[in-house]
Amino acid sequence: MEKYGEQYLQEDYLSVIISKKKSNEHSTCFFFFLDSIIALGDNKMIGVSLKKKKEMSMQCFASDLQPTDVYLPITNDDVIFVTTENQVHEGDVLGRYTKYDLPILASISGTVFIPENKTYIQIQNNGEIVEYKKEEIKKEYKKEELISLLKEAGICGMGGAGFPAYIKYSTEEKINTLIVNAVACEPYITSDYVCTLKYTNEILEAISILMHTFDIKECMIAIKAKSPLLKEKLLTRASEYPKIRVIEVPNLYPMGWEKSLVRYLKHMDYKKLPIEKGIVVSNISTIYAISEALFCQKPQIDRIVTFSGENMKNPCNVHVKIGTKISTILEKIGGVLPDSTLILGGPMMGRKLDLENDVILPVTTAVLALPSKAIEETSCIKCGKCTENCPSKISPILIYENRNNKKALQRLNPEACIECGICSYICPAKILVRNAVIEAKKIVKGEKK
Amino acid sequence: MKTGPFIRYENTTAKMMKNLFLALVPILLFGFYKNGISPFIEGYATVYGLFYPLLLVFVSVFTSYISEYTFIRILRRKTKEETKKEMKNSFWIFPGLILSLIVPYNTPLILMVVASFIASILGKMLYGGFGYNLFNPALIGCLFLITFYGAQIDKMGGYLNTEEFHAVSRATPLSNVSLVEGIGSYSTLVKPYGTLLDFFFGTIPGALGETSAVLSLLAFFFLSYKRVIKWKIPVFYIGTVFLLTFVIGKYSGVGLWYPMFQILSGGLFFGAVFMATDPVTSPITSIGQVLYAILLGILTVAFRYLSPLPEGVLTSILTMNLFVPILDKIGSSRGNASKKMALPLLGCLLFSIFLVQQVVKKYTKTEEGDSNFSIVSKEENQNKTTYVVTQKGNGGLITSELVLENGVVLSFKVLEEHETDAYYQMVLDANYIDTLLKKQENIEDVDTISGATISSKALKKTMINVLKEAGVLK
Repeated sequence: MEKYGEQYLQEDYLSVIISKKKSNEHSTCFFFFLDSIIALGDNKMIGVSLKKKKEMSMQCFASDLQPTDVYLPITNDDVIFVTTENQVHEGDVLGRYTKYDLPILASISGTVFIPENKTYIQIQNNGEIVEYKKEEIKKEYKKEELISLLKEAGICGMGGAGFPAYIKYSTEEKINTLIVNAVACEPYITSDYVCTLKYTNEILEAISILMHTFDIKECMIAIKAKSPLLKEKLLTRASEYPKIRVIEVPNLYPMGWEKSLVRYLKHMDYKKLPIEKGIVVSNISTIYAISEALFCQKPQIDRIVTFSGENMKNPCNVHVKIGTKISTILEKIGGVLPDSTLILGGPMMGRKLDLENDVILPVTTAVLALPSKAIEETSCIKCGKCTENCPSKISPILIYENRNNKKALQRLNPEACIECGICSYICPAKILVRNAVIEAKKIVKGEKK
Repeated sequence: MKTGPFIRYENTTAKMMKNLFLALVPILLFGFYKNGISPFIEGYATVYGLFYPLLLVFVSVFTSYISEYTFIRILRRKTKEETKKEMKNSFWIFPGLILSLIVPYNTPLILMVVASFIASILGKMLYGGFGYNLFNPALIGCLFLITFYGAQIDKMGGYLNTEEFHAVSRATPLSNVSLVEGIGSYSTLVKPYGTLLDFFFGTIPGALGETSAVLSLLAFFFLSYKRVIKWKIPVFYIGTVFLLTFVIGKYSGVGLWYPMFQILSGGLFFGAVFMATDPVTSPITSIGQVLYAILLGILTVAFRYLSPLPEGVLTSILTMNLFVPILDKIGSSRGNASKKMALPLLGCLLFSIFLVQQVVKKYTKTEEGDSNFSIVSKEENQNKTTYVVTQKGNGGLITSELVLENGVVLSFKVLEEHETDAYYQMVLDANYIDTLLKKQENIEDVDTISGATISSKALKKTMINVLKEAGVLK
């Protein structure tokens, strides 16, 4: 998971870049003794150990699923260059998303159809397949050149929040460290793992070009502990790149959260964005997308998605086009058992799948089918487990109790929540604490505006 | 369910409560052995006495069940099925069970029923049931019992089981120092019950579940490992009591046994592990828990030394229950841990210093010089020294003449006294002055005469002060 929740909005990024605020952290050594007493026995790397269940989907890999049509969701603000009946080719620019000024890219070749309410662009496949040949690798890029390449290839983060890569790298701050996130700490999800194993060379090459262009001194590839195959492969290849280190991180959730990673690898805390400390965190799948853009001129039109879960008939990873309807993929790979809960994303952060409308997006890491089971909610016994395990160090249950009290909520700092879901997961009374915190976040933010 | 998480941790409230119950079982069995089986084998108890501990527990738990069931079924007007379901999530066994483990052993069954009813209804159900109560239900029941029927139960034997009733002349170890003379000594506090190991293993008089520190300690490790209780609370609570009594003991010149005695008596271990950690009535935040525990420790020490209330642990836990929301407010506010902690901790520190100072002042005053004592004359004749001294008694000054030779008091004559006749007659009848003369080497350990405490104490003090004056006592 590259990022959690919606806390990293564009405004945050820009404001940090413009104002160049150096975080003025006070020296805490005076209180160090107190801190260590409080933290006594607390998990230093706050997180929980989950049953990973990754083996399910690791072995099987399916590609070349050519969809009959794709649906690219748009909003009314976006600028559209094409109209219904137009013929387009794979990789064509169909318009621009207003939000981050990214291109809308055709992920297959075919005929365009746009409905009257303009909620999506549909492309009907005409079967034409575009081949991307690996061109001679260009090693020297100017900063601006690379940034505009990232922008026109439409590359955005593939970990969770989908933040555009070009904004991340076009910073005035000096980037000292690049952390490549290959942790994928949520259970079931293996798309990053498979992508890394399959394209190790391309990924390492892309990292070295990024480092060269942006003059980054060191790079750390964070993988989770106890994945010997991945470690071995990365280590043998990475030996050619002296500046790239492969580091194992504890098998905890949410270890893949940016803040946890930075804290673990660099022993630093930042306020809003890692760039404050000269650090950029990128998901390894995003790096692979960058490598495709660099070496094959291929924009971000497909990705690897994990289809897994106890109720998935054939758990596997699938290489699919962006915009493919999830229901059609499920049909092609064998479908799910009856009585399943379908989830878009990981079991912790994901939401319930809308089988009718949901399509593959760049941020879609997984589709899961889990057995449905009824869970009975009982009254809170104030055991404090949600507070103890909260990676943001807030008190979810107090927020839950004060959910109707705006004033109290402001004091309880719900904005710090990253929506990791540990509070709901760990609760012995099975209360959906996270939902209350998300609501509280909205209340507090609404009042601030 | 639209949003996740779609997987849940297998731990449930029911599992936590099951583990809590498991941790209480050995304590219950030990109580049964110590108060039922052992007196029965020794021939002090009848068959009824053998099963009385279990009967007490059963009656208490059964009352809890009945009162909660009736409350839900009748006052909340629920159907039979609904009530059954609510009872499952109400964990009715705990108020009754814990209550029966902390009340005096000789509580009559009828009072047990009343107390258990109070605990379940007043302490828990009226607040909205499991999860909503402000105070620890069992402690509410116990407080009621001790406040209104404490004296009555004391007459029936209080905390003593039949075996102890025959063997030990005195009641439970007095952790409440305001009832002991001075700070107390090893021979008055610990020796009557054996050694500190007896305190540790629990073979001392006390409530069914409260005596065995080692079983509570084992339960603490088990429950912390199973993540049922907030482990910080017992650690910081017992730690604070130890630290404070250690300082007090150091000032008063007693050894390390003294803080050990203080933490091993008065049901502190049981209270710290099972009652202070009651999840519903203790803070949620880490900082809140630490502050809660430290304040509990300070309050317990304050109650033991400065108030005549017999149950320091009980009273302080109930008091601190009230402050849980405030402590959580401190613990959950923005900012890093140390800054939130600094001010409250400073407050605790200042309060502790004040407390220690008060305690030391109160209990060591007599040692440095007794303002009630003065020397009228001192005559030396050959080896003998004759003192004429006055000591304040019940009805004014008591003037006495004591003759010392080589540090030994040869004679002790009361020249003048204005004591109440009836009381003074008791002193004379008991040949108290002879006793003092005979036991002058262990003068501190001589008991005063109950019924004529002040007069007998004044005579004892006269002796002590003269011995001090002569440099025999320090």
